[in-house]
Amino acid sequence: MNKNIDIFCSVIDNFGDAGYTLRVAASFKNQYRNSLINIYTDCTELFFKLMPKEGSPQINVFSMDSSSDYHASEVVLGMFQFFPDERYIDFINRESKLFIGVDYFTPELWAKDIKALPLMHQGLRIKTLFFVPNVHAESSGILRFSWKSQGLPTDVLYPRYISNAYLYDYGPVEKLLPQESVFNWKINTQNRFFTQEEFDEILYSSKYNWIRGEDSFSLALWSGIPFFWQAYKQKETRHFKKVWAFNEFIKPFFEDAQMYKRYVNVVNTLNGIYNNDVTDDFLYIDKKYGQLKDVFEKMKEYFLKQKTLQQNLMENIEYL
Amino acid sequence: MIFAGELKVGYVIKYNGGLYTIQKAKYNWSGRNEATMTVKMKNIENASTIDIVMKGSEKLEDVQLDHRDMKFIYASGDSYAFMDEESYEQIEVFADDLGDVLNFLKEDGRVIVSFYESRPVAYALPKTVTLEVTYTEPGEKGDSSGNPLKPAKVETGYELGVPLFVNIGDKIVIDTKTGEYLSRA
Repeated sequence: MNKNIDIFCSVIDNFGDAGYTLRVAASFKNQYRNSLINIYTDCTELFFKLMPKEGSPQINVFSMDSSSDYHASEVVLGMFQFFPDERYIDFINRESKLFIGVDYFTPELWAKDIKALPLMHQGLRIKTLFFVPNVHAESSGILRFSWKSQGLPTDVLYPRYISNAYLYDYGPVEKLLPQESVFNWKINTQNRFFTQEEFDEILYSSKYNWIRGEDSFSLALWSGIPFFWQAYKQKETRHFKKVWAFNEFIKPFFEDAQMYKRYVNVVNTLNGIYNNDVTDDFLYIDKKYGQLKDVFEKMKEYFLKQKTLQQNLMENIEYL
Repeated sequence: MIFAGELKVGYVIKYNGGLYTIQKAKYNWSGRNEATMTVKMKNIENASTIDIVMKGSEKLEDVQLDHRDMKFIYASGDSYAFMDEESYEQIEVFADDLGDVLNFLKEDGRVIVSFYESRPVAYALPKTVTLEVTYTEPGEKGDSSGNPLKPAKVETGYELGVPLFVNIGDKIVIDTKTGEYLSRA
């Protein structure tokens, strides 16, 4: 079955929006190999930079500013609450069958039931659906797409490489991340840019991942490798609720209450909820690394039993 | 015109040519700083209901209605009776039509009833209500994830998060739009 799909994405302030959108596009391309998968964005260069250097899937990336010859595909996606403007809406109403809105991820319980709900937009006159990616069973699910399923042996390219750190703010955990042990420690945003493929390889090669936002978080959930998540900072500390919701979600995977408490201390400190010295907590965790690894393996097994975000999207696309 | 983010239970809007009363409205902060509204609304003419999502910034056409402050006087099965204390007029409303109002409705509680062409069509609450906590765990039990809120149940059966210092028997003020704890009464 072939479905041509347009995906609209406006990049707000970092690589995550583009990275996540690229994974959505690539997962569609895997499913609909002979279809056109088109990304329309205000930041084309970033998409080209993020793509794997070799063997890139045939995903077309267009600038939203050059809309003069636009013709809408059968299905149109708006990522992260983005709606195309009037230059596109008329074409979409005439030529498309379905508009899908995909929101930002949140582990909060309220998002569990927002799966394929109709989406109100005064300009759109075609069928609309809305999904909020979420970790809970029967929810919209989590995106599952990596360019690499495992990393390179760490001693080949990254000697003494222990933690992969890619954070908004390193301050809260600076003491835990000695520079020589972190491959892309503070280098990522200053000197070196990684393609998604390279980033995935690093993530799968790590003992710990210190990750942020949405794109790397989605990847880390499926990795079975322990990670610490730093949520995107929102006004009035609204992101705290997301962190607490994830802490609640992950709790049943822990068998050792002490280990859970220590893990939560580190995560809450990483997110600025606490201002603690968590060195002891991290040493405790590291000493019992195998136990923590089991937690994340169990969580991976849980996710393997759930429908992924792209499965939920495709179910609605295929029954058009 | 109003923004979707301003919608509350009891509002009436025009959508796809029909008039809809808002029965449930949940304001959600998702990623970045954009909000969405998840709304359950009922068509006034044919009583069909629809669950729908909209961006908080979506502009909607609201409808002018007559509003009356009425007192909840009794419930009988699935039916709830309200009285206008000025005219002594009484109306009966099915639970389904009250939507989220039921979360906060206690004996003698006030409800703002909206009339469209003399027909009651929408039911809203004051901005805040004061309700008694009937169940909550002791403070420390709610703190395992670092969340400073713990689950609690109030006299109407509604459940919400409350600060760790709140105990059974305390009266608390709840924001009826968000359904969240505001303060101790």
